[in-house]
Amino acid sequence: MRDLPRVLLRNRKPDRITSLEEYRASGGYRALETTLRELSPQDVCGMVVDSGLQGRGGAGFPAGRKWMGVAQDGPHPRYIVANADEMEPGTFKDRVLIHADPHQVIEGMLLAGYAVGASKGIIFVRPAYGRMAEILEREIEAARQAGLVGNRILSSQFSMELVVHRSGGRYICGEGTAQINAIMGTRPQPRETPPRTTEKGLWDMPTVLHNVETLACVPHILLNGPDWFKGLAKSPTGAGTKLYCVSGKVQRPGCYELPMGTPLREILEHHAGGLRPGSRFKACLPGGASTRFLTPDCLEVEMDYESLRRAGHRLGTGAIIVFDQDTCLVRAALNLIRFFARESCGWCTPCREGLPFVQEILEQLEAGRGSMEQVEMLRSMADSLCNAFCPLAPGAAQPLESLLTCFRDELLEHVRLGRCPYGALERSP
Amino acid sequence: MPKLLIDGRSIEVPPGTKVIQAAEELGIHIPRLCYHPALGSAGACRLCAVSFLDGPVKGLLMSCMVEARDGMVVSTQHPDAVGFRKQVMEWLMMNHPHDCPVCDEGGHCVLQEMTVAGGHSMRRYPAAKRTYLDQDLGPLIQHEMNRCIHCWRCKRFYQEYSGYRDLGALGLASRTYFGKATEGPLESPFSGNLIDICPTGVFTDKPSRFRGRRWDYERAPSICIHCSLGCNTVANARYREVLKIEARHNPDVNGYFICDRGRYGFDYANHPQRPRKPLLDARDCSFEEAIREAGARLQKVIQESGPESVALVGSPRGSLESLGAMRLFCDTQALEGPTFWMDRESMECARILLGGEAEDLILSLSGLEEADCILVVGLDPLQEAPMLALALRQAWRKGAWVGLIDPRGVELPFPFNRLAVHPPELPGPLESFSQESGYGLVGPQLGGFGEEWLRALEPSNRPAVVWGRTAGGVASLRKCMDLVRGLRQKKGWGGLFPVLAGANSLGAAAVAGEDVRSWKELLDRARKGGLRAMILVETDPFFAFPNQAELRRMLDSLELLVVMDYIPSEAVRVAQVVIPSTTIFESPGLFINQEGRLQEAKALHAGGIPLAQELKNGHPSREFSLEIPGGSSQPAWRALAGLSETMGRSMGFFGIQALRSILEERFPWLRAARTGQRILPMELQQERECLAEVASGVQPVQGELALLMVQATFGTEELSSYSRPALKMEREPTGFLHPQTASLLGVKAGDRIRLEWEQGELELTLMTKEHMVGDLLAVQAHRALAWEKVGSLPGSLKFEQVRKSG
Repeated sequence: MRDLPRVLLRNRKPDRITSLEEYRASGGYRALETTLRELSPQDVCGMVVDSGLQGRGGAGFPAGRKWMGVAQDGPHPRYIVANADEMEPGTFKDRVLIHADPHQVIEGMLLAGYAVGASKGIIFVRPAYGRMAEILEREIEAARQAGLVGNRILSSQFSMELVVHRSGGRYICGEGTAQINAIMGTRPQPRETPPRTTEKGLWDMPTVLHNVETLACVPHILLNGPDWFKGLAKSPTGAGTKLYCVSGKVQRPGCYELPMGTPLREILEHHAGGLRPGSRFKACLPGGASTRFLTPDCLEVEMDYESLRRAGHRLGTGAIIVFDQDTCLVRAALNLIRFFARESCGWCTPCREGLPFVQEILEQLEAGRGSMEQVEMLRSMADSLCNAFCPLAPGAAQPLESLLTCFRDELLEHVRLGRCPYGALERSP
Repeated sequence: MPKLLIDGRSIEVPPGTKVIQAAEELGIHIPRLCYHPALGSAGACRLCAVSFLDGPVKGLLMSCMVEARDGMVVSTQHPDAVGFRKQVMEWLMMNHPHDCPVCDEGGHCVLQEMTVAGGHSMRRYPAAKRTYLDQDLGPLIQHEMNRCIHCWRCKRFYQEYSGYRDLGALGLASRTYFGKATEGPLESPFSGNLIDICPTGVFTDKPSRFRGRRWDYERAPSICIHCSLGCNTVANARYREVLKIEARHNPDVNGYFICDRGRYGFDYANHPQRPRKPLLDARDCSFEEAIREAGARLQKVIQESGPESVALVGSPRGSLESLGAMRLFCDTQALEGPTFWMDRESMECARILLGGEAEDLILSLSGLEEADCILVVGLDPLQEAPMLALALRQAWRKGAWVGLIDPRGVELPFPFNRLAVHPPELPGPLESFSQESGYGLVGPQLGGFGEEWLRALEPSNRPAVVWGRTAGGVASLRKCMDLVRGLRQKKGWGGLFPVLAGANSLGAAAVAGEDVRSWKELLDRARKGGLRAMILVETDPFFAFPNQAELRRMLDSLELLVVMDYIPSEAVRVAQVVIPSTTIFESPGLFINQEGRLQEAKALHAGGIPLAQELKNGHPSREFSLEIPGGSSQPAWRALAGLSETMGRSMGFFGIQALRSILEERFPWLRAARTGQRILPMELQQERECLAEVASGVQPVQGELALLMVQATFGTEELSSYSRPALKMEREPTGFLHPQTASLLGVKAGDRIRLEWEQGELELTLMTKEHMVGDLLAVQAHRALAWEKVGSLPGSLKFEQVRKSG
C-alpha cells in the first residue's frame, strides 16, 4: 500500500484542536495571502473548476460550476454559507474536520467569498454540534484578530465577515434552499429551483452554499494547483481526497481520509480493519441513509461519485454503514424510514403522508403481521415516493427500493414465518 | 407563444402559462388541491401529476409546476399519472376522518370530489388516524384540524396573499398544524376567505355551522353592498333565513376574495326586530291600507302646502330600481328631489366621477393591482373598503411603490410610505400637473415623502392615484384627476381609483335630479317650517347624523313621516307609516359601484320571517296559509308605485321588468348599459358648475384638537351594524390620538376619555397611533356611541375639553 495523502486531516491531533498558529505553520492562510495578492476572482473560479472538486454534501455538484453560476453583474451583498447541518445518519466527517482543523473551513469560505464577491459568510451549525459552534466562534475571532477576517483582509481591498448560525435543527435544513429559509428565520422548507441559490438565495441575493468539507478543500487546491488535487484521487473519475465515515459491524469504525475512488473493499478490509470477528458482510449503505443497500457483489466498486453512479449507487456523504449476516435489513430499513418520516418538513404529500404509511407497513412486516399484499404495496409506494417536491422522500425510497429488490426473500420470510427470522424486536430502536 | 399537445388536443398559450392552466383552457380539469389561481403553484399536494410523453421534459411531473413549452406532449390519462394520483389520494385519505355526514363542507368539498374521482374507496392503512386539538379562532371561523390534508392554501392565503401573520404552519412532518400560536380571534379582516379557499372542512363558516348543506341552500349570485367596491358574492339561504355569503369570482372587481364585513354583514336581513309588517300610527295594518293611508295623508299635505313641503329621501344603499323609482315618483307627483346624500360635496363628487369630466380615467380594482406606483390620498382602505387594501397589497407584491397621504396613521398589511397632514392640507400637495412642477406633488410639508414619490415615479410606467373622501370634496378630486391626466401625458398610462360612501353612490348620482338638495339643506328648510311631510326610502338619518336632538325635533315637527326600510332603524321607530321593504336577498337589484360598473344582485329567496324565529315549541307553525309568514315586505319601488297610484297618478309599472323598461326610457344611458360592464363616462343631462367647494376638516390652532370622523371595518357601516356575526367582531368606539398629543393631554392608550363641548359630550376608548398627525382626534363614527348626547359636532376641541373620564 502506497503512502496515503494527508490533506484535510493532516493537522488532526488525538487530543486537541489545531490552533491558528499551528495551522499557519502548516501552510495555512498562505493560499489566502497569495490569492489576495496575485489572483483575480476569475482565476480562483477557474482553478476550482479545473480541480474537478465536487460538492461533498451528497449531490456531488461541481463546486467551480456553482461559483460560475453567480453572475458577475449580479446584485450585492452576496453570501457564502457553510453547511455544517450534518444530519445524514452515519455521517460525522464535518464534526471530525472542524474539531481537527477549523481554520481550513474558515480559509475556504474566505477564498470562496473572494471568488464570487461575497461579503458575508455564515456557518450553519446543527444544535447537536454546540461545541463546534463554540470552536468556530472562537477561531473566527482569532482569525479576525490576525486580520484574516473582517475589513480589508490582510490589508487587501477584500472584506468579509463570518458568523456562526446556530440552527434550530432538522434534517431538512441540510437541503440548500431549506437552509436558506432557516437562516432567514422562516420555515425550513425547500423551495422551487430555479432560481438557484446562486442567483437568488439569502434575501434574494446570490448565495453560494457548500458543505464544510468542500470548502476545506479550496485552500489546498489554490496552494498546490488543480492538477495536484486531481492527482490525489485513486480513480480517474474522482478528484482530491474524501473523508469516509465507516460505522457498523467493522473492527475499527471511524473517519478516514482516503483518496477519492478508493475501492470499498479496501476501505472496509484495510482501513476499517475488516468485519468484526464472526461477522460476514451482508450489505452496506455506501453513502448515508438515503442510498441503496449495496450487496457483496459490488464490493470492488471505486468509491467516487461517477463510479458508484455507474454501479447504480450513490456516494452521498461517503458514510458507509456496514451490516452483517445477523442484521435484519427489514428492521434496518424500518429504522431509516422512521428517521425520514420524522424529519419530513410536511410540505408535500409523498413525504408527509407516504413515509408514515411505509413506516407502518414495515412495522407490521417486521412484527410478523404483514402480508404479501403489503409487500406489493411497498413496491408501488417506493416508486411513488420519488415524485416528491424535494430529494428527501426520493432519498428515503432508496434503501426501501433496494430492500425490495435485493432482499425480497428476507421480506417474504417475515411474511411466511409470521415473525422476524432474526428474533423478535426487543425494543424500539 | 408555446404550442403544446394535451390529451391529443393542441393549444397555444402565452409564455409563462403553467400546464395546468393550459389544460384548463382546453376544458380539461386536472385534479388539484394546493394549486389555486390566485395563490399560484405550490407543488405540495402532488395531485396534479401528468405524464409528459415528449418534448423538452419527460416523465411524471406536476402540471402546476411546469411552464408550457413548445412541443410538449402531455397526457393526463396516462396509467403512470392516474396510478400516482390514486396513490396520492390514498395518502391524503390516510388520516382524513370519515365525518363527511356531519361536516359542513360535505357536498362542496374538493377533497370529496377528488377522492371519488380517483376511485379511492378501500382503506389499506392499518394504523389509527392522526388527531389534533382544534382552536377557537373567534366567532366567524370554525377550526377542525383533523380534516386537514395539508395543501397549505390557508397559510399561503393568510400570510402571503393577505399579509397577516397570526395564522400559519406550526410543527413538522405529519404533525404539521395550521393555526395560531395561541388561540383567539383571527386578526385579518379577510379571514373568512379561509373558508372558501380550504379544499376541505378545516375552516368552515361558524355562524351557519350545522344549518344546512350545499344542496339544502337556496343560492343566488349577489353583490356586496357594505362599501362602494361592489364585490361579487354568492348568497345562501335556507328556511327563509340568509345564512352565508361566499365570494364569487369576478376577475375585474374582487378576484376570488371578499372581506369579512362583506361576508358577515348579511344578517341584517334576519334581524329579529326587522320591520316585517306595515304599521300605521304604531298599529299593524295591511300593505294596501298603509299605502292608501300614506297616500291620502300625503295628498292632504300637498293640497294644503304645495308639493315643495314634501321631501323624498333615499340613500346610496338603495338599488338602482328603488332610486330610479324615487326619481319617477318625484317626476310623477311634481315633487322636488329626491335627496340621496348627507352633504352636497359627496353628491358633487359622485356626479363628477360619473360625468364626462372623469373621461376614462377610472381604474378597476384589478387594474389597480397592475399599477406600479400608487398614491393613496385621504383614505383608510382597511376600514373603509377592505378589499382595496388587499388589492394594494397585491400591487405591492408585484413590486409597486405605495404612498399614502392621510392624517389618521393608516395601517396597511404591507410596507408603504406615508405622509401625515391635517385634512385641510390634504389637497395641498396635489398641485395641478404641469411640466414645471414635475409630477404634481408640491408643498413644503412633503419632505422625504415627495422625494420617495419622485424616485418611485421615475421608472414607473403604470402610476395610479387612489382618492378617498377624507381628502376633501370636489377640489381634491379634481386635483387628483389633474394629476392622473398629467401622469398619462408623461407615462402613457395612469388611472384614478375613487372610493365613495355607499354601494350605489354612482347609481344615485345617475338618477338624481338637477335641483337636488342634501340632507343638511332639508334640515335648514324644516327648521324654517318649510317642510311638512317626508318619505324616507331605505335610509336612516339617525345613523349618519350626529345632531340627533335637532333631527328628532325636525322629524317631530313633520305632519307625516313615511319610512320604507328593511332594518329596524330609529327612523322606523318614529315613523307614522312604516312600509317594510325587501333586501337585495329578496328582490333583485342593480347597483353601480364606484368605478361605474353596473352589477345585478339576483333574488335569493321569497322572503318572510326566518323559520327559526317562528318556531313554537321547536316546531314550525301548524297553521296553514297561502302567504309566507312575515312575507308582506315589498320592494321599495313597488311601494312607491302603489303610493303614486293611490295619489291618482300611475307610474306605469308594477313588475320589475316594466320598471326597468321605464327607467331605460327615462335614462337613455341605461339602455346601452350591460350588467357587469362599466358604464363610464356618462353623458349627464346637464353639465353645470359645482355648487359648493369647502375644505373638509379644520386646521387646528394652538391648544386645540381638530376632530375627524373616521370609519372602522366593523361598527360604522350601517347594514353590517345590524348583523349579529359582524357585531361580534366590533370593538368599542375608539378615538385616536398621536402619543405625544395624548401625553400632553395627560391620557394614555386604553383610557376612557370624555369629550365635552357646549352642545354635547362623547365617551370613547383611546388608542394612540405613532404615524398620525398631532393635534388631531380621530373619532370612529361608531354605531354604539351615544349620539343623542352629541348635539352639533364641533370642528375642533380645546385641550381642556378632552379628559380622562371617571
